[in-house]
Amino acid sequence: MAASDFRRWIDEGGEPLDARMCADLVAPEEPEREDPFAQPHPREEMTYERISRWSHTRGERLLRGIYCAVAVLVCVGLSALLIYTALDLPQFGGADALVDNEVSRFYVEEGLEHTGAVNIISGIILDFRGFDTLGESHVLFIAACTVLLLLHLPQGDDPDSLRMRMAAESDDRHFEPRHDPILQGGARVLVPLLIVFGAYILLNGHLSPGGGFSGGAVLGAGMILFLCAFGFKNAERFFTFKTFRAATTAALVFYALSKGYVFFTGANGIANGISAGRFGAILSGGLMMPLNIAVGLVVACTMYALFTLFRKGDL
Amino acid sequence: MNVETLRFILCALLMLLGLIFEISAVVGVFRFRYVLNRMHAAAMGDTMGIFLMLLGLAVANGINMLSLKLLVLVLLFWMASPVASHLIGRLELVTNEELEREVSVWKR
Repeated sequence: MAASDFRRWIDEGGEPLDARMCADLVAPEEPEREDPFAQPHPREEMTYERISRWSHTRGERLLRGIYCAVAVLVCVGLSALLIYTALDLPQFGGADALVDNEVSRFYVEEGLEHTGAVNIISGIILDFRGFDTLGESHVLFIAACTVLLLLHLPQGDDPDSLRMRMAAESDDRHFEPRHDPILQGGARVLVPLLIVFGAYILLNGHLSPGGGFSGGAVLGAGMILFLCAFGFKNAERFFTFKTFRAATTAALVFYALSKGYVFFTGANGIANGISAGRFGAILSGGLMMPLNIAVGLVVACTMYALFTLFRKGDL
Repeated sequence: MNVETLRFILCALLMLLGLIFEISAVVGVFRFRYVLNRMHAAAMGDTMGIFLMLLGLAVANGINMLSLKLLVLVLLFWMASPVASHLIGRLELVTNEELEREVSVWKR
């Protein structure tokens, strides 16, 4: 901008960027384009029509046939491959099966002594492979935290957050069952069964099939069913954001403290004073039962928190 | 014909009947086009199909604790499946704005 222009703008007002100055800002004229909707040449039109008719009748049939054939081929081929592989495996319990493997024999024979769990799978998951399970529980925790960051509605009193909360509330009231007698009748029977069964799986994880992940999933399903049937008011009597925070943090800290140092001492844990596992005795099996409970708490709380966050944006 | 053969035949009949129910449920789920019709087909497999299959297994197993568990499983399915179907149907009722085109609705 020249100085005289600036002077004139100050003195007289008006638009500083007059036509003379911003001549180079005007968009260049578009070159003439062919009209895409112009009537095509008659012969072209016939070709189009033939192609279109072909692709709508015979072409579609052809494509569909090819698709079906390829789908069937892939299915049959994959099943044949899997069956061939399965036939190639040594027979279950047969003489040439890999029972004499040194590693599996170690787990079967020494697992009880090393981990205290009668259920070898539980012992492997929570002790021999404890690093992996510790990471898995933290993955669940991180997933819950991320959803909390993304979906948690603001809890302030300003109009914006109030409006967002009201919208979520009305969506919830519209789409979700509220005081539904059929659902409540089903939940009255199913929720106690689910909770008791989940607790049973959790507490017997070191003695019988089960453990933290499956028991926690059953517990979480029971809590979600209770929430669906009886609403947030009733669910908040036993599960709030504080419960979620306390339960997951305590469980993860306990797990990390009781198993974390083992990675640095070469799997030499300090004695915990709990006897090795015996069938029928819940209070046995070393650290397995508390660890199972910790993992189960994390899984149940994460499931419940994800459900409530996706449903209402609040715990 | 001794008891074992009779039991085997009974078990096979029950399981075949259950299989027929399950197959018709699957065909119905894929052939019907509207959600309530599909639910109707799926509920058949959830109730009769599973009941007959588990009853066949219980007959094959004889009278013991495992058969009792199988029958309790049937009860659990009969508790849970209708409730789930009811919720799906309710959601369809709430969200479908052109419900009159599909079914006749009685307004209360």
